[in-house]
Amino acid sequence: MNAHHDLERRLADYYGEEAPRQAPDRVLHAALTSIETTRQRRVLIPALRRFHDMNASAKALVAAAAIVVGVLALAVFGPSRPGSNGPGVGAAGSPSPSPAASSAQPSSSPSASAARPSPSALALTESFTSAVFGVSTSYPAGWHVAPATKLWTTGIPWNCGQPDPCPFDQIWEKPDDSQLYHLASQPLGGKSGAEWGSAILADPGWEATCAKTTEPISIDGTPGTMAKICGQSLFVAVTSKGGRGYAFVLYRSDDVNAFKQLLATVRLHPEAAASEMPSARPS
Amino acid sequence: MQTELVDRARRGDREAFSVLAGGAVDRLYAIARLILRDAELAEDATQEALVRAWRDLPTLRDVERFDAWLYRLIVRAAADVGRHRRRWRAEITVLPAEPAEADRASALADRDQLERGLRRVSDDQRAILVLTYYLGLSTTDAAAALDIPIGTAKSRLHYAIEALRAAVEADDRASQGALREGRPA
Repeated sequence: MNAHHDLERRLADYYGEEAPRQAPDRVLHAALTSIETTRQRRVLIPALRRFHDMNASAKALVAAAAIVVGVLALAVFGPSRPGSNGPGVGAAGSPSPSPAASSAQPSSSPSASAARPSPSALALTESFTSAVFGVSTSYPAGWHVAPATKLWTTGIPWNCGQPDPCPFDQIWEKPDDSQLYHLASQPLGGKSGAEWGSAILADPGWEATCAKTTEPISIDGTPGTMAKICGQSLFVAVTSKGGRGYAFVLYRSDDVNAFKQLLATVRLHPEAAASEMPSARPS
Repeated sequence: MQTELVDRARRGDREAFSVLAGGAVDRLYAIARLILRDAELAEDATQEALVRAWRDLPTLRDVERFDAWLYRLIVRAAADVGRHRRRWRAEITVLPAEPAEADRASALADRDQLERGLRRVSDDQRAILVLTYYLGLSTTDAAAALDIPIGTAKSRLHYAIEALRAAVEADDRASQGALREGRPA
């Protein structure tokens, strides 16, 4: 038996011996207690599931009927012709961006704004301006904001947790198991913007399991780099302006379009960045 | 039988879900414990995975894939719990390898060495090692449980084994060095 297989055998034996046979009773009890007050997520279009379960001929029949209905609807309520006022009823399927979202699309950032809205396109109706990092962004309604509680001086803006001070602004969808959007900036510290960005992306703290994939991106008209961290549901984008390096993170998401959509709303204001944390004011 | 329970639970039957959860909790806890290497965190992850399972069950399209889906949930829950723990990682002191005493069984030394090696691989790597060598999943099934492409699962497993081997070999060298120092020629 070679060393490779020997290690695998040792590992299997180890797991067999070390794995607990039984979970403490309180685990199941706590979970079942919790679900008593937890509502199930509803499937929005149950018809789709029924469609999935149909046999091929039934699916073909339903699809043909849908096409006929679609064609008829288009003929009757078709899109408005040039010169008519406002969108026709047929255009209602493509949601028009909110004022905040549309005004946030910078004409000067082609890469980011060129992202096609994915089926899960975010409605970026809220805006956030960092108190310390000299940056602002839009984000979806209902998401939560936790401003940084310390300046970003070392490491990467990915991990922190209560009660530790957090060196980046966080905007998240839900408390658990949801997308997290982080923003932070710091002085370049004598490096060029490219050197700084490369160093941030190469930081081992991202725990990439293989080579990253990167692409150039423009953030508020400033060239930068966006990377998908291999092995993690994690996107990082870096850029620099006015002697500051900026980093943006979208965690727990594989939706690059969502990240680009968020980045397209970013505005960099290095002159507004703080060199120390604002002192707490009594409320 | 399980398929029927899953279908009932998917439609909101809490009693059916209780039966499913009772049948899965030990396995999920063991997986979380092996990935996180901490009993308390494993409890949190298991509880979280079960709550998410209940909440998201209506979105499960193929009831036959319930087990694989549960594995995905527990791995994600463990990753989330692990993520919050990472900030303390730097403070964890990995004890230096101690030379084995003569009367210690070699099996015990073996286990301790793997234990130390596993501490040095990432949560992601530990997850695929657990799915493969504890649950015995194929790479295809492990990839499905981790929600990653098969090619990524293969390379992750490869790198995980290599990382573990490197850690074990480094441990060996440290042990031999300590032994030499303790026994002057």
